[in-house]
Amino acid sequence: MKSSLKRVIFTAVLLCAAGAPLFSHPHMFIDTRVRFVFEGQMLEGFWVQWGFDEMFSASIRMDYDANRNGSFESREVESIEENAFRNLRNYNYFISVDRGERRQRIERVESFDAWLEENRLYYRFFVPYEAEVPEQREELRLIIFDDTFFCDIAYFEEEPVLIDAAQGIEANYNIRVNRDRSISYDPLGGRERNGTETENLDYGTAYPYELILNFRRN
Amino acid sequence: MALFCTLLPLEGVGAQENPFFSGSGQTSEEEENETKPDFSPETQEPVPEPPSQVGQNKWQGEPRRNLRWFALLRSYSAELQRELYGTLSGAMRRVRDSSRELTTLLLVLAVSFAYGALHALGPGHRKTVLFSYFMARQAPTWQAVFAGAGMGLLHGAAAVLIILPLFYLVRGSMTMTFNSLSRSLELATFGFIALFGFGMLIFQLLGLLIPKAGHGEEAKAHSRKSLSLLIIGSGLIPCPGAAMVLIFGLSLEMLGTGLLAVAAMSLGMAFSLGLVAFGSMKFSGGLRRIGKRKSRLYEFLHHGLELGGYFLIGIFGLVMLTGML
Repeated sequence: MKSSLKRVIFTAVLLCAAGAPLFSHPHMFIDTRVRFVFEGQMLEGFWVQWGFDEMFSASIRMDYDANRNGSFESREVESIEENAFRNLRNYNYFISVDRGERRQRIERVESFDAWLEENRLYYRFFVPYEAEVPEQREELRLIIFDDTFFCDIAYFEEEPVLIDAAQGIEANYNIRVNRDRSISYDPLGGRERNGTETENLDYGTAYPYELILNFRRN
Repeated sequence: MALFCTLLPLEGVGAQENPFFSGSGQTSEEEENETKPDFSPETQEPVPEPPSQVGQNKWQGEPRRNLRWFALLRSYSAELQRELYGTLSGAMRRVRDSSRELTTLLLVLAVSFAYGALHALGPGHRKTVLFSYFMARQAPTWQAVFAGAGMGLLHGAAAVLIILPLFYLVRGSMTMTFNSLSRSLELATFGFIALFGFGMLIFQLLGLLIPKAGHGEEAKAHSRKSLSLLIIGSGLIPCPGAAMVLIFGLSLEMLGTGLLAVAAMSLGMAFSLGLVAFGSMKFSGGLRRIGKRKSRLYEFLHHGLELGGYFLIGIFGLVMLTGML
């Protein structure tokens, strides 16, 4: 009886350790770069640039580089946007922005572009996000995270964040994991993917990187 | 504990569609009616210039020591898969450039195997089904290993069977077609899993009510058939990872290397799933041995696991199916 119990516990621990916790099951790998754009005393929004892994890059090239010249012409870019980008609005383009208590999920992006560079596919688009620059320092937290776990998104090592600050604006950034703010997701892939604050959960959640922009008037 | 182990791998199983392609995610009515924004030069509103290569900054990632163990494991697993994926694509490219040098080819196979093994430990319906099935049924070790390995191999093979015809027939929308075919197969698979689970549950209940049913050689043969059916029925969802590897091989005009890489990746998945099935069976056997044979506790555990396991398979299939509809 005792040895059976031990065996059961041992196997259960093994099963959990081997099979369950390695939840991250990405099929695509993306590097991201963000560029904040200020105009006058306003934050106008930010550009997002994604660099994809070679495998996904190859599949898009095979499907959309119709003339096989190794680059995308405007019609091909339109086709990529329509067929291999636009659907992301169902996922809020993986982007959410927190300012104070307010969380905004991104519904609309502009100026999509796609190109190939050294066997890698890149996407770039502008996210309009207007915010007045305050007198006192304020924090804006940007999360780029695919909560379906199909894509693993990290930042480019080189120049992950660029800031186009006009004169009279002080802005800097930091990228960190906020262990007090996890993202729980719907395993059935439901529409509602609001981040939830879960202090005590060790499983079923992820802690995405947060890009924190601090800004104020000089 | 059984419920915990069974439900843990459930996380994310319904999220295997590529979010970049149409058909995945749920489009609201409002979004469906929305017209596509016109970005043509005449109508495009002025927007700021795109990123230029100015500024000097580096990001080295953040130490993750402040993460809890679960999130830490997830983080390391994702990073390792990213590393393996990059190494694999680099090695495949080198195979082409080095005129298929043997050592580079071996590197491709080794990395593919490792990637497949790690990949299969992520969320997926196979582990839930395997675990529940071998909780419900005591089977010879070889059957458990065979079931796990069979599902892993089928996962990769299904990707090949879909991608190859698409490559030669509908070039131009290969990834999108693959995505929508995968979705249809997922729907069919979850429907099958639900039917299988509840069907087996009813069969076992009948066996309890009519003691003659479900015993002897006939029952063993029936069990083998049901296992084969389960392997095929739930193993046919193609692996998006294997599909990507094959497409990459095709893009390099190396069909053979692509197929070899997918085969090695499938073996890796077979290895992991075989281990999971083997562990599940040992776990279930251990639970049963807690009670003395013929004792009430044994009977309770035996029938409880049997009925509970099939119930879990059925309910899992049903939940996943309704979630996708």
